Amino acid sequence: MFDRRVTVGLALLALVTAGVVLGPLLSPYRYDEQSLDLLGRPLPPSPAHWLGTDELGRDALTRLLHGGRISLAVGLIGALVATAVGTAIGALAGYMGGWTDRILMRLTDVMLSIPALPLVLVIAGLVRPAPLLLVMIIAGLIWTAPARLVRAEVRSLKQRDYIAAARTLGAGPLRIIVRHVVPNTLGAVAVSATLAVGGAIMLESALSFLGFGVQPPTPTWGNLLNKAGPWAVSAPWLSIPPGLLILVTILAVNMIGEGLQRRR
Amino acid sequence: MMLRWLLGRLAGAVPTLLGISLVLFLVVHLAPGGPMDVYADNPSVTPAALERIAEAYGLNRPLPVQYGLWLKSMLVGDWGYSIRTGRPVLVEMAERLGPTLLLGGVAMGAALLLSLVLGVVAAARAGQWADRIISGLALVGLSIPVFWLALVLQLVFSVWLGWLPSGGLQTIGVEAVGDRLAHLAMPATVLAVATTASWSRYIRAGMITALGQDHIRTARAKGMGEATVLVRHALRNAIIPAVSIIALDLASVISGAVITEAIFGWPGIGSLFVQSMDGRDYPVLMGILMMGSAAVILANIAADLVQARLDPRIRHV
Repeated sequence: MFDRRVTVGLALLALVTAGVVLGPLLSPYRYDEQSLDLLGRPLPPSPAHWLGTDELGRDALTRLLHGGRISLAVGLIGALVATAVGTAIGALAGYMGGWTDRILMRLTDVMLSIPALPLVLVIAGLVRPAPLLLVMIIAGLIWTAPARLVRAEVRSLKQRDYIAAARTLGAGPLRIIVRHVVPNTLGAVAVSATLAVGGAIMLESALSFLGFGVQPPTPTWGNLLNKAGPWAVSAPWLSIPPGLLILVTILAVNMIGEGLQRRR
Repeated sequence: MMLRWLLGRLAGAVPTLLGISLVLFLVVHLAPGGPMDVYADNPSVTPAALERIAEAYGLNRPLPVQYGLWLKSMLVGDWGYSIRTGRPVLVEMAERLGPTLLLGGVAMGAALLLSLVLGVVAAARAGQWADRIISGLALVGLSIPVFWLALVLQLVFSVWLGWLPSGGLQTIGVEAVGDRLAHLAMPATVLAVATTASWSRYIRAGMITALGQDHIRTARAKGMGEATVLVRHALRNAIIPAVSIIALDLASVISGAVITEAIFGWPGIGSLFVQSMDGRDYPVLMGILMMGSAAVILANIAADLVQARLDPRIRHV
């Protein structure tokens, strides 16, 4: 009943999620545990450290999986907040029309016109946010896509008879939007929420890669890559895996989104 | 008629630009420490000196007054001075524009060519193995983080194979086309991958819609060759919806490929942006963001113009 891509995507995502949730629990090392014997320079993979160690003697696999927790959490929460905000603004603009619509859509245009990564860099650089604030900043940038989508859906739904019926029965705009309009846009919302997860993970990792996102010692896939940069040549085991996991995660999310879209 | 439409669109862009300037202004001035933060971090700057600097830049006046003054000077072309170098922001940006346009131009040109070919082939073979491979690759291309792709390419082609230089615009003292191309190859590839992936998907979708239409059946029934049908009849219609997204991506070239330029040490707008981040050089940051936003707005209008030319049914009255 599901598109095959949805199944494969969900399986990949489940695998990554299980890895980052369980991995650090099963690992004999802590993500910030330094080994004084191994201090100085990264060491290649060995039976004791499957993905080697970093320059402080910390186990790379444990840090990779622990970093995944932050990256995934930022992606999921960021997408959730962005979708909620975007849905609310899109539904309001689409249903009310007139000045409300014009002002909200002008705001959307403004946010869509400013180059996203540079803007988020400036904000993150000035504020130096903790992870939770970072999530809000990312959500504050990517709510525009769901907002436009929901607005278009709502404008077409508004013409339907059952909305007119609800209005005739005396339902106010808020009740109609929440009870009758939004539930019928959920299909479209699900697709854009899925794509937003990928967008949020990508933004966080780009920010952290450039050194303006989540700050060490808390690892994320992005700042692991940042820290691995100077060792890229001598210790590729530090830089290849984080990027590969970002790729697999975003690919999984995109496959789910694609499959859901095809089914609509 | 066309001119009036164009003037109308340009006038309509003014409130959006004002909104953008307000958002950027507020971002810098409402951040903790505000624009003075760069000096406040410096222990050798005394409180009295801080006050003098604030006075000189007008930073002790009410926010709306500051915004008005800033907007006025932006409008007359006075974009201020870089805190890092002390040189005019516009001069700093102009110096970096050349390399950025070169890199962006080559990458976008390659992406356009590739995505047209891939999109048309995928649509012509929809559902078959060629389509599956192209669509699968496109999805992977969309999901690859650029910074990681750049690192992997550097590792493979510069470190292991030693074929390509790992960064920079050219080898110092060497003025040869081959050398320039070798330096362009990796950053342009990195930039082109995600763009090609995205554009080819739009072109594929547009082609599939176009190929289902009556005039295509008529053309085939008349005995036209498949290549003529695909390129002359279908592609012309298929590209119309893709034009908007292509225009937006082209506009984003102006604000620089921040990550790609930073990794490959490409001396363009993007690496100027990253350098300015380190020094909190907010006049330069604001300048680049304003220019990038204006480019996006103009690209939207340009896309509408192109779409109207390609599709006579879209009329601007």
